[in-house]
Amino acid sequence: MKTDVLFSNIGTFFSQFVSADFYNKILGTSIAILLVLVAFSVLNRIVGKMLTASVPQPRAFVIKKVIRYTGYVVAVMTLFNALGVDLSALLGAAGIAGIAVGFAAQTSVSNVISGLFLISEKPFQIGDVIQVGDVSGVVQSIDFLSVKIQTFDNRYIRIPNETLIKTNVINITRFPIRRLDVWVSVAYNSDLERVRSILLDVASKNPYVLDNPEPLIVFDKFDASGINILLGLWFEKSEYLNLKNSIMVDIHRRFAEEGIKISYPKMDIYMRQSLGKQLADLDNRSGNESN
Amino acid sequence: MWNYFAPQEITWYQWRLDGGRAFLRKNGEEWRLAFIAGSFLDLVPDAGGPEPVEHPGTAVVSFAVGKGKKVALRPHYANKPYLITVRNEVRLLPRAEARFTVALPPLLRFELEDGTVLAEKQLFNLSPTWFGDKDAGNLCLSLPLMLDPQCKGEIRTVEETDGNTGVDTLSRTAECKSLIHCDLVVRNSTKNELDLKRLAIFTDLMNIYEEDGFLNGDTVLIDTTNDGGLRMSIDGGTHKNRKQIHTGNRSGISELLVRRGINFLKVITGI
Repeated sequence: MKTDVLFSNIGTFFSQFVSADFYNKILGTSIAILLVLVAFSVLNRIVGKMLTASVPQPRAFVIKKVIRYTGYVVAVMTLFNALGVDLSALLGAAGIAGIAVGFAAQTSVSNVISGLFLISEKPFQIGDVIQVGDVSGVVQSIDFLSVKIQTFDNRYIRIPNETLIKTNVINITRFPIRRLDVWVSVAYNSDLERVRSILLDVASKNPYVLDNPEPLIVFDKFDASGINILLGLWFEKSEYLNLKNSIMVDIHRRFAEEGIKISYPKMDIYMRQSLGKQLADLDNRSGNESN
Repeated sequence: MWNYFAPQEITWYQWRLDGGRAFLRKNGEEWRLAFIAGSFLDLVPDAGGPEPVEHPGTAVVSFAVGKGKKVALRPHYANKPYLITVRNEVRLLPRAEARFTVALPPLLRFELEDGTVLAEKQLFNLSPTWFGDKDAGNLCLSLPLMLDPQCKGEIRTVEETDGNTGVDTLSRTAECKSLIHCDLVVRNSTKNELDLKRLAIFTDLMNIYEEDGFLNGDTVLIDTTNDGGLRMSIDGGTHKNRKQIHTGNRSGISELLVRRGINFLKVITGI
């Protein structure tokens, strides 16, 4: 009896494959899914063209991805609907699974959300030079989970977006001009006004130093070995290395020509003799005097 | 001095440029070119050429390879705006007008007749300077001169000045044939005073004319507007009858303002 029921159910199952209704349903569902995918693809292209002119590239990239994945979800839901699958049960199961996955993927989710904040806040853009902790380099891409940078010694570094949200990010090339601070220490017996005029003259002759904003000179403090002076030089941001190398050479050479001593930390040490040796020296001295 | 000519083979030619120098030699399709930029503050009115010389001395020689028969040394405006500084500050009262005469060092190019550039060099090494705010602005070339205004009703100008900074240089520049001489007119059309300190000259739309070997640029007009802005325009009629040897961009003045943005209007005089 049970075998008859089993055979009957199997027969019923396979009989639907020979009915015209089944194939009509398949065809209709396929056409519906195809139309959904085509519609979302066209929408993606239209939105992409509209966003190219008005929105930064990373944000446009995210929006296009959202549209594409929404299309996939709608297509899948259409398929389930056509197959008569009860979505409410599926959604319930997905909710429970989502909680489990959420616990496991909380870092990734945090990175994605951090990435959205980075894209909307725009602390930096592709091509900017940024410094995060002790790492600095050129931003190559801003992605969902991480930012990729290329360091100056040609290493590839992946920084999770969550890290960028939590730490200080220095955008070195945000503004068109920067100031290079050069610290100089001169001996205490130096003529400070003469030092000031020499430093300004060195700055005016350097081809990378802007004469506006004007160079800044600050006499900072009387330090242990000499007087510290801050020389602040403004430059166009792409000339950092050229300026840094040339100005150090210029200052060093000019100070040497002008006889200005660059002070450095030094310590005078007096050797104290032992008591026995001091007494022996005294004896010798008194002996010599009496002779 | 600025005309096309057919150089003899394997002969160095020199152009004297008021303290700077340019050299050229042709050998078949090989062109050798050299420049000595010179210093603006050390300029000496002495311009001429091309004249044959033995060798370019210590000038660094660069090479270009290509066919060409006739070549010329042609002046152009620099790739960056020029920045001039007014001595101390000049206050323009309402409805007043001040004129400044300035001599701009050109960007020199060796060009073939079809416009091909063999080499180029800025005459006189000028310091870079920033015109604008620390977060936006323009990189400019700074002229190391402090200018005095020329005003209506003045009896004497340069000769009677009392030894101000750069005046000696200024009087020498008037005789220099390698510099582009042009006038700036600043007009205060508002009811408020206008303090001038620094003026930027954007040369995109300006032409260069030649007469008797001297180079002249269009007159630059800067007008204040009632809403506190500034409007820059070019008066192309001053030298209309002279030979034109450089043509500025043909776009209208409105395009210059739109391209620069509103910040350009507010910072053109550094106020």
